[in-house]
Amino acid sequence: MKIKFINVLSLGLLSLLTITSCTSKDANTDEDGNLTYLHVLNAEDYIDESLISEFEEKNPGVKVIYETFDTNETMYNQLQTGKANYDLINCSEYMVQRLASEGLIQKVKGLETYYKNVSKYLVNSDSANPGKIDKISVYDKKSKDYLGKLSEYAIGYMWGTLGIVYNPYYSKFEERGLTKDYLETTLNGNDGWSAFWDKNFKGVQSIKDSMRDTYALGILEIYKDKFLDSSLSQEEKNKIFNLHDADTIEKVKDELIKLKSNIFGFEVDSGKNDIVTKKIGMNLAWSGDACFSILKGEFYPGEDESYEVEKPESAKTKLYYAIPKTGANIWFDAWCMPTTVKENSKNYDYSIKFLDFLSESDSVTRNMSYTGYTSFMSGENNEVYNYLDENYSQDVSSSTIEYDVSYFFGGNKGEFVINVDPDTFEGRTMRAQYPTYDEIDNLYVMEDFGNDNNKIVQMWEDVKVNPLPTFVIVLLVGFFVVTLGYLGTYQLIKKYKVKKRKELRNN
Amino acid sequence: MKFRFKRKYLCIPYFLFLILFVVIPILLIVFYAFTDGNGNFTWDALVGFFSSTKKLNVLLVSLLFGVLNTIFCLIIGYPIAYLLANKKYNTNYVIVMLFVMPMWINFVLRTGATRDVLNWIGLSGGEHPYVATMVGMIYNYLPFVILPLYSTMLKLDKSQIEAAIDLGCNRIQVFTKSIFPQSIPGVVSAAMMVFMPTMSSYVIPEVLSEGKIVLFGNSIYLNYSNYQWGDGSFMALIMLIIIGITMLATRNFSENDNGRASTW
Repeated sequence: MKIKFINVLSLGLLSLLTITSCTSKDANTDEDGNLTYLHVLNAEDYIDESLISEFEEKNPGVKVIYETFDTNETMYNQLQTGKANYDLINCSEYMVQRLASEGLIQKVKGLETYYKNVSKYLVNSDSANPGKIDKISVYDKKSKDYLGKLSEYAIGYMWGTLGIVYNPYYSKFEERGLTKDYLETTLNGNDGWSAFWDKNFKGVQSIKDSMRDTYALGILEIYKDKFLDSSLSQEEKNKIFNLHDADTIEKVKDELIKLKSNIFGFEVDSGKNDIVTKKIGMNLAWSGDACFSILKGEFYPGEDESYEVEKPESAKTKLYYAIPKTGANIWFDAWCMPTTVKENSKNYDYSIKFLDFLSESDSVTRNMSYTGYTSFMSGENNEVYNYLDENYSQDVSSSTIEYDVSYFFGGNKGEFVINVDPDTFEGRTMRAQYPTYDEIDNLYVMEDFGNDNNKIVQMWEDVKVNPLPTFVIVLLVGFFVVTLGYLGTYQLIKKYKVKKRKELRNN
Repeated sequence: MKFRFKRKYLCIPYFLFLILFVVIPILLIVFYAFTDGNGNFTWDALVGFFSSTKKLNVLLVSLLFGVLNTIFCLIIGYPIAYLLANKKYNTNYVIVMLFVMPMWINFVLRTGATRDVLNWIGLSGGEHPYVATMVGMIYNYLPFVILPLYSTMLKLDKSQIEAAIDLGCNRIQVFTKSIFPQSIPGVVSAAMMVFMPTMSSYVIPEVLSEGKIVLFGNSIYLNYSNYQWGDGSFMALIMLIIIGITMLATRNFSENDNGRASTW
């Protein structure tokens, strides 16, 4: 049976063409009647999904197509290759910066509730007193032209810090004579990050299997003196935090290789459970994950994934969060809008409505209690503060401290205070959700490495690789040469024999 | 022209499948391996791979794990397969099923469970990354060794073995002169089933060594997730070439002497 290959090939190509023409159809225009499809891309488990249906109820003309991704990098690859059409994407600050510098996203205009409700600490249009996120500029990747402030592209959603979550009652800490007080003062003190390199902590801590975060850990360690130097301004320190010259990369690499032998392991999402199940006693953690671990350590998940059943005292794992004095990374996740969304189109308008809807105080508090992360919003009349006060404040007693969050709610020091006992569940969660007043000057923003990203990848490969001893390499290579040599000659001999046999038969 | 259905049209779905899921992906790998971000031809990935000690080192580590895993699996799996093929011990295939059963459970779940078990017996990846990974690999790939060996052993020529005994071979000689040569096709296909997947395995080293051991699969993923498409694709290409070489080198072994290919 013979098949004309060319026929089959052309048929295949034809069907391919139809498939691609289907997918490349502009998703934003497929309207039937008055229904607009709003394509929203978000990280996994990062929104109270009942909010989406509520938004659809309020706006009958819109249907939200909600999709999720696992890491910023997969999302970026998807955007670059898939020709995917999204109206709104939620990703981290450095990724927003990269997307903006590559012209993949546009400035978002026309928001109202958002600007009313957002905390002035993070976003502030007053140029004399810019918010954290306003200080980052975006430059075109190719021409290096100034494009604008990051806050014009990034519509803030959640924020937090990268700190240390630890279990002061961990058995190995106790064996090694590390008391709770010692851990608390060390990890919150000048040498907090150095603890990861400390032999006393060997094998009990995990760090992130994520190039960027672990690189930041290295930077905080090698430039510790500079970060502690009070004569340097915050801007200068933020520059140091984002250094990526050859010398710095080399130093970070050496430190991380040293670190590798001292840690339990690298992880991105197993760590937040491992610390609860006591595989490890200390973990480099994003504040939201820290809240999750703190919660999971003390409560059983209920039926609808809400954690309401408290564990018995003996089964609890009490976890604490710490931010070293050296300073820490402050991260943001923000919404951005791809350039494919046309201004004045229905999708644009509905996207703005969606963002404003998410910025309403009610949505914010629901999202915060669902995800455990801290929202960008303070509320126009500080509704979020009221929510915190209601949930976290305790009766003033000798064990409570005044937890000052005035910086976030636009007040003077002492104006917005929550009274909590730092050893209770509420106190520890509060500690992870909002840094203290004294710490906010030592929080640094990560910026995109731009074209130097490749060098950091190289460095990271160097850290992760397992160098083999020479004799193993020699043995291995020898083994392969011998095996392949033997197999090769075997085949040749066999071929020769077959040939001989054929010749004999023919004769 | 009138359309008439011919039998050969039934092949079209298979051809489409092959083109879409085999030919095009391989062409894409080759394309990305030799182009830069803008689609221009470049040797960068090739030069980068062979000039980078760490990438070659990853290759060697993967080969080492591949070889060790194959050897361990064969040592453990061979006697088991021999016993299972013997009707005296395995009367109703239940034991074969028991050995193969782990394959029915999702691989990622199984690895997660292995991690907990290893932690519990004090072999955590945090302290013993190499041992933990090796144990996980052997556990996961053992069924792939047992099955092909088992099916070869079922077909062992009993009369030849008996003849060997009658003609004065001792037990060891029976094994080396009769049983083992007869089972070589099974050994080769078993080795092939283990060696290549081990080299490119991703989840096992990632989970069981707590991220401390990087094999070829992990390295390719790292490159892809950091937009180093060229480097990642070139490594995938190297992988394909290694598979090709192994297939070529073992081609004649997977056939019995009478030219019948082994089932596995």
